[in-house]
Amino acid sequence: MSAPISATDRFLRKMVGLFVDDWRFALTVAGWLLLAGLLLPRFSMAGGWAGLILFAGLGLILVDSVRRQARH
Amino acid sequence: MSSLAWTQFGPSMLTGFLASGVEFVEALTVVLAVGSVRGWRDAVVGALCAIAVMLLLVATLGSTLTTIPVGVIRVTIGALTVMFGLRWLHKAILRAAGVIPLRDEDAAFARQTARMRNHGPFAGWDRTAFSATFQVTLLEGVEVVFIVIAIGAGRPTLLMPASLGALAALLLVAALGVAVHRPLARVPENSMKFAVGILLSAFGCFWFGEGIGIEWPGDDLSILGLIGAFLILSLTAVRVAGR
Repeated sequence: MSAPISATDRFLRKMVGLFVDDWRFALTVAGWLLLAGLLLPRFSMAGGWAGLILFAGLGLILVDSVRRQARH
Repeated sequence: MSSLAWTQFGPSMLTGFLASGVEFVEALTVVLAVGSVRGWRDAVVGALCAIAVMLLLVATLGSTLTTIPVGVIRVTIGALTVMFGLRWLHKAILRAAGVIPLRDEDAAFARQTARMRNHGPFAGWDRTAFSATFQVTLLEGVEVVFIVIAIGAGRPTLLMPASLGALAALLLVAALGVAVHRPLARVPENSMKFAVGILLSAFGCFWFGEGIGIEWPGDDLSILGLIGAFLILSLTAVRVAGR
């Protein structure tokens, strides 16, 4: 029975791995999306400011994570 | 088709094509290694069975998604697509900056070939060959399935162009594999991953924003703006990481 369990394990790891390579990076992105999802709809911002804030947060998280990993 | 529709139609087909290309180049390496050591019949049948499962998944999930409220779909799939796209982009940036090594298809081929030689001889049905190619094709293909479904979930009309893009890449990779019988080591995998990461991050950000009620200026045209913004950001990140 070890082969099927191993295949299932590989498949589950792959499922998680679709979204997570680096847990800190993934959790920060998820946290920002949660925060943006809760806060941005409460403020009625015209002219695309809400979209810009959403993008800027994601961009900052990406650049910061890349910079951090490059230094290690 | 209107120019507005093309702002999503073109990028969605390109995303399906590039993502499928990257994943199936990796799967092809294993299929070639297994086939060259263990024989082609069971190796190819394993890969074909996995492709059949993937097609079934796309057809089943694609039709199921139409029954879920569009707002829920956009927030959920938008968030997952952002996480998926940024993961690819993150890795592609680090590879482009030389922080982590590029994937080497020739080395992967050599490793897989050695592994297959370690398995014992077989008579008749080669379970090892079938299982190896079935698993790798399915595991790599799951990413393609997710991408195609995610694109189709954001806009159901985009399921077809994304599927066609993915299918075109699958056929191209298979044809090249049959023609050259060697791993496609010269395919610019990281550049393709970089592009897919940008496209998916832009699509995901747009859909998530729509799902939480953000009104994007220019509506669908904002996707092109987001693609450009993620491109500039990613090129900047490569320079930051490469310092």
